[in-house]
Amino acid sequence: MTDDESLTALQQRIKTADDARKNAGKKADNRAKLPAEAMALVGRIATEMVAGVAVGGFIGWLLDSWLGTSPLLMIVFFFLGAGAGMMNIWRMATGHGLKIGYFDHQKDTPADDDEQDRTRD
Amino acid sequence: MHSPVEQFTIKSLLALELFGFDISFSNSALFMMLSVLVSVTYLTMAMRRREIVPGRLQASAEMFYEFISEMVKSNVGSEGRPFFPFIFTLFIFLLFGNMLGLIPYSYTFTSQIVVTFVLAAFIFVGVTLVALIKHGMHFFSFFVPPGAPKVLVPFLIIIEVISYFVRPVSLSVRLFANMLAGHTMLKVFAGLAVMLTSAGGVFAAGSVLPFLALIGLTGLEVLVAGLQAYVFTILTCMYLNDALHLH
Repeated sequence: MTDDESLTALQQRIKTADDARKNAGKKADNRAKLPAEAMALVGRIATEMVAGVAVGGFIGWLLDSWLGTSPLLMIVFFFLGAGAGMMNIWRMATGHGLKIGYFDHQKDTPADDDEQDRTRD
Repeated sequence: MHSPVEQFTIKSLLALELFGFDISFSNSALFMMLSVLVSVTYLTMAMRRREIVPGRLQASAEMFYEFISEMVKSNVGSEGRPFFPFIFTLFIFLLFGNMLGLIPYSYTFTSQIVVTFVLAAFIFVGVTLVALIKHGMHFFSFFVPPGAPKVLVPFLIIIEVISYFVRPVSLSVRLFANMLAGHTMLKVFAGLAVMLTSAGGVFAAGSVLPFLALIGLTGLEVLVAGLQAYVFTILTCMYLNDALHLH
């Protein structure tokens, strides 16, 4: 066996071991994370809804006391805040995470970036 | 009989004043320091021997490290690496704070909105600064949803800005509300058990039920304590991810 051949064989073995390790990690993660993440999601939906309305109302109230338009802006921002809260929930539920915007985030998830970095190396 | 919310009272242990501000050392501050002290002691003790085949203590510390390391890697990517020490510290601080709070007669500092909001506000400001430093003015394009009809854009910008400002609020309220509700519930059930016992007779026999519920709920609270520390940390990672890779 020449040096070159043994190196290629070694590289192959490292690659197989590395892949096996990565896949094993993924499987274990999925199992461990599922119930906890589901519980976490429920809590997040509830708070997101309340926080949206609260923050919207507060911004409206601030603008009102600044511009002297009470209570017009507070009412407007109350509903805008409710909209923002709903949008956050929608984004969360559709797997967009908390990213602002409406893209197909499947393409540029950070995990993929990491994967690409590794292959580039 | 104590009120179920009496456990959240801030007591001043050492009265201090600085420039007219009350900066007394309170039970809340004591438990924050304890959280830091216990976690630092634990991690130092665990990693003292640094064996290749870890013992139980070292394995547990390495588990925490790998858990957070994996969280940062999968949620932020390789650019998140410099922020790992911060994320790890945040998680351990909150986890130990929540767990120490479950010990009877202790104090849960995460049940105070002031504490969680200050934490969340610092994260919010920090993450926004990271985004501004990394992307400059391009950061503001974050609030303009691409592909939206032109008529709706100003309207959507307002909504996006609000939803950005919701972040520190929902982050802090989630942790605080979970801890507050959980600890109040534990106290209510405990109070019920005590009341039934002191009523005597049939009622005393019935006190077994709230007591059993209390055991179960304590287990649930341990889960919630860990889970909320995890949620707080993973959301910090997500915000950081948004800041580092806008869209």
